[in-house]
Amino acid sequence: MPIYEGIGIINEKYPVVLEIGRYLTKAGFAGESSPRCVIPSKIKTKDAAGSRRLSDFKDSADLYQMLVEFLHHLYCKYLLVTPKDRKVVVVESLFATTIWRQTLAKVLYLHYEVLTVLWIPSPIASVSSTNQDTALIVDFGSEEVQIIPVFKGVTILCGVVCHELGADTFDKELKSILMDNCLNNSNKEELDRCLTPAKVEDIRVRCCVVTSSSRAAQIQRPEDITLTKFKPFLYELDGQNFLQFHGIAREKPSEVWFKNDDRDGISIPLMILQVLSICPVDTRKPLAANILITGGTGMLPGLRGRLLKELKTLTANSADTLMNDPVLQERFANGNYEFKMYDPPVKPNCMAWLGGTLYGATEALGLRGINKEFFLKHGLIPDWCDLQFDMVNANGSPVISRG
Amino acid sequence: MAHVQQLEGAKYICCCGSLKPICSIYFCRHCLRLRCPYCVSHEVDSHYCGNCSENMPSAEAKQKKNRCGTCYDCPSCRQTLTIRATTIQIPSEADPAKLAVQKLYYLACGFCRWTSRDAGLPDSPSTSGTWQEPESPFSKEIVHMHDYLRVLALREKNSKEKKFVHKSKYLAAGRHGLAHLLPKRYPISTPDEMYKPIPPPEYVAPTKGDDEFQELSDKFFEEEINVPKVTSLEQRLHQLETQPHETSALLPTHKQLLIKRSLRCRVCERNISKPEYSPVSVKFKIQLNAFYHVVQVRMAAPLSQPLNPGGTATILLKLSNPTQFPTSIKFLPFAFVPLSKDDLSSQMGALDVKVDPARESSTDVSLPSNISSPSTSITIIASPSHGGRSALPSESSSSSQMMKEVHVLPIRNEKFVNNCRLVVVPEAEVVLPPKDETSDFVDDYADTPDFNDDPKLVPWRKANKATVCLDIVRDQNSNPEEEPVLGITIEYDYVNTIVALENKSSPGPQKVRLQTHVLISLNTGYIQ
Repeated sequence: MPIYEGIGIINEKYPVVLEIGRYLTKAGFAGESSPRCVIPSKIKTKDAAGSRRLSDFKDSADLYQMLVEFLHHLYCKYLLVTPKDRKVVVVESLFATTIWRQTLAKVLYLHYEVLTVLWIPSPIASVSSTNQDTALIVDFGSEEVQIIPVFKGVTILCGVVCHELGADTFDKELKSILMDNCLNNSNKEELDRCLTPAKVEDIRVRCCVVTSSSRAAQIQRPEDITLTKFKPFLYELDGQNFLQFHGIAREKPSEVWFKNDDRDGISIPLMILQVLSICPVDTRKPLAANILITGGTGMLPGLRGRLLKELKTLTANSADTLMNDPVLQERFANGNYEFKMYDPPVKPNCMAWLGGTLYGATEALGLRGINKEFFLKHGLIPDWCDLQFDMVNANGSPVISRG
Repeated sequence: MAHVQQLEGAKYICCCGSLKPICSIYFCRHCLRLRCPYCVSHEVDSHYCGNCSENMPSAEAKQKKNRCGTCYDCPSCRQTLTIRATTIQIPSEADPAKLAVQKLYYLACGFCRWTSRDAGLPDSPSTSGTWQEPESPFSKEIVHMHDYLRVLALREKNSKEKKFVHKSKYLAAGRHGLAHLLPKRYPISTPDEMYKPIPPPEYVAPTKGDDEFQELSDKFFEEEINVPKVTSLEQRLHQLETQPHETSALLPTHKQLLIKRSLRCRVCERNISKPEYSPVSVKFKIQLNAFYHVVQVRMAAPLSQPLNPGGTATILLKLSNPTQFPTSIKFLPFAFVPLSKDDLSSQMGALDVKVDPARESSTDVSLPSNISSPSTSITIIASPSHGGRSALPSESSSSSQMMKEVHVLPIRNEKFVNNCRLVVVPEAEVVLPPKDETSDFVDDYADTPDFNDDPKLVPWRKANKATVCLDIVRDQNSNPEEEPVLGITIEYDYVNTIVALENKSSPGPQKVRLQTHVLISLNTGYIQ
């Protein structure tokens, strides 16, 4: 009963920490070490599809209704608290669209009557969950891979590089490989029907690995691909039906991250070098020694080792592998960069969320949170890309510079 | 019964502009307005376990992370686990030479056959056995990080309160060159203390090079992968503490609690629905469903032929009075005016809470010219026939309530189509007697008092129900693809007993005249 909630030792109302991603939403309470729930960012609908992703919104009114419904579901089914008057920490993407932020703010402040919301950009949150302040964040999202350098707590925005190499691209690649490498069914149409996006995702999560560089080289040469080397595996479709795939389907899809022959001609190790070369010269070595992998897709076994190996090979002394980029060659081909990766205390998919709870449990929420009065007065929330909010006053709170 | 009322056929328009069938709409007896789940505030009333129906006080629920103390979920398929007993023979304590039978218990899933033995958990000698719970391997480190950041944040707060300009923009940067750990909750006094360095954090995530993070070895690929032994994404996300990769690491998790919700009107802040505390009870302490207060309307017979644009038809509407008091119903042309913050935007400052213009214009509402005053979906109107008795709220209080509604209610203004209208608005009012619970069991028409109805308007009536015959016409220029929808406004008497209960000096129940707006879809509004 709510009346007793304020009595006793545990009278503190812990803030809710939300990270609404494109694919999954993480929600929980500040001060805890793992989220209470990770659920798809979807709402149920009455039509044939049965559900709709939040990212498929048509306009702000449509998004508003979807967010109201989604947050209601989240609060009543998983968090089990009254949203009113409870503080919220929102961990958001650096590149969240204005319409998304404004609508989410409206829903939180007006519909759910939240008093204070702390908006944290996910790179800052991810860095703080290592308890350090410098990291080169490689974020494997559902749509794209973003590489964001954060140096001494400051995001180097001009150095951010993104490419469409996220889970969606991976799954597309995986599906085409699965179609070509099925051993017990050659009917393409039937395979296409069996391999629904959910099944492909399941195969990615359960079977796929990032292979070693020596095997990756073999994959490129078709004559080396033998069944003895790449052990086939069985995947259960339902109780009776199994599909057997060539073992190459486990290892080849992740090569999208390392080969350079896709339409952008870009691989993740190259992206990392590009970011480093954009960053100021003094920050390059610390950043290279503090690479942080976040995002659920980055949890594939073997990814960290392979990435470090590739970086080492690319920058090795004798390397002529740095494509034809003279700038990169000049800066990195001497091999004096040492690449290191964080071994963080949580799995990559909860990194940013953990940063949110760390902030949420401190006084920072009151200091840096945007309260309801501010939103009611100005009708918007501060945003780094909005020049109105370019200044802060002595208290650190944002000042609106327009007249 | 529910399916009759749950028809999408007759939708009531809530104050906030949502369209809902009568069974999912509420009626606030204090504001005398319709409310719907969208525009009331939802509160957590009590926590309970859906499996064992045990109540849990909210403080305890919070402590146990909203999980039941006794019930477990299968980590593999999310079904509820059952406790199974098994016996073993052990040497008896009294006489080691003899064997005694001891009962042991383990958890098993009846659906996917997972057992706690699969997780390598030993059987427990007691039914409530303490099963190992998933715990984050780094929880200690995370606590350290929490403590450290708290110190930083407190430092920042203190420096702010003391007007010492804090140079670093980000918390993460605050550590450098800044003062001493501050366990005290009050601001420190001297700048000296401020500039003492903070001791380095107890834990920082280590970084490792390629000698430690190695590529998958060739040995890894020599083994064939057994897919069912690898956890699926769903299984991992249900055990967030560890997110195991192997199914053998799945551990039973406590069942998530459910809640009972109470609803509160945002305007008058009184409860609209409050369930009973007991989890097994399906009753409510307060349940102000519109079903018990508002005149119900639905189609009594289907349209005899399709209604094309410009065509006319005669429809039969069934009305029923759910209240304990007689009511008199009058039909009016559709007169719903959506709540809008437009006229109040000057007071609201820069806040842009206007309804999306595309949505606003898409509502096909054509307002009759004779309705000039903007009315909310239910308006209190002075009725000349009851003028003496009814203590009506004055014009000003009604408009102040409207102001409050505009500020407090979340406005939805759902899109709707209204392409039919009444040919002639009947002058006569239809009087409905109060609901009598026993009348449903009496097949005798003789009891029905004579109301001197015009048989052309009211062809049938029984107890608190009556059917009404109305002539309608479909707009000439309406889209033939859309189904015909009739929007009407119904004005009826409502006897407010709450006034007499709250205010002892009041002479008796207050009788008011209310309006409600209904959209009846003529093709689907009738189901046999």
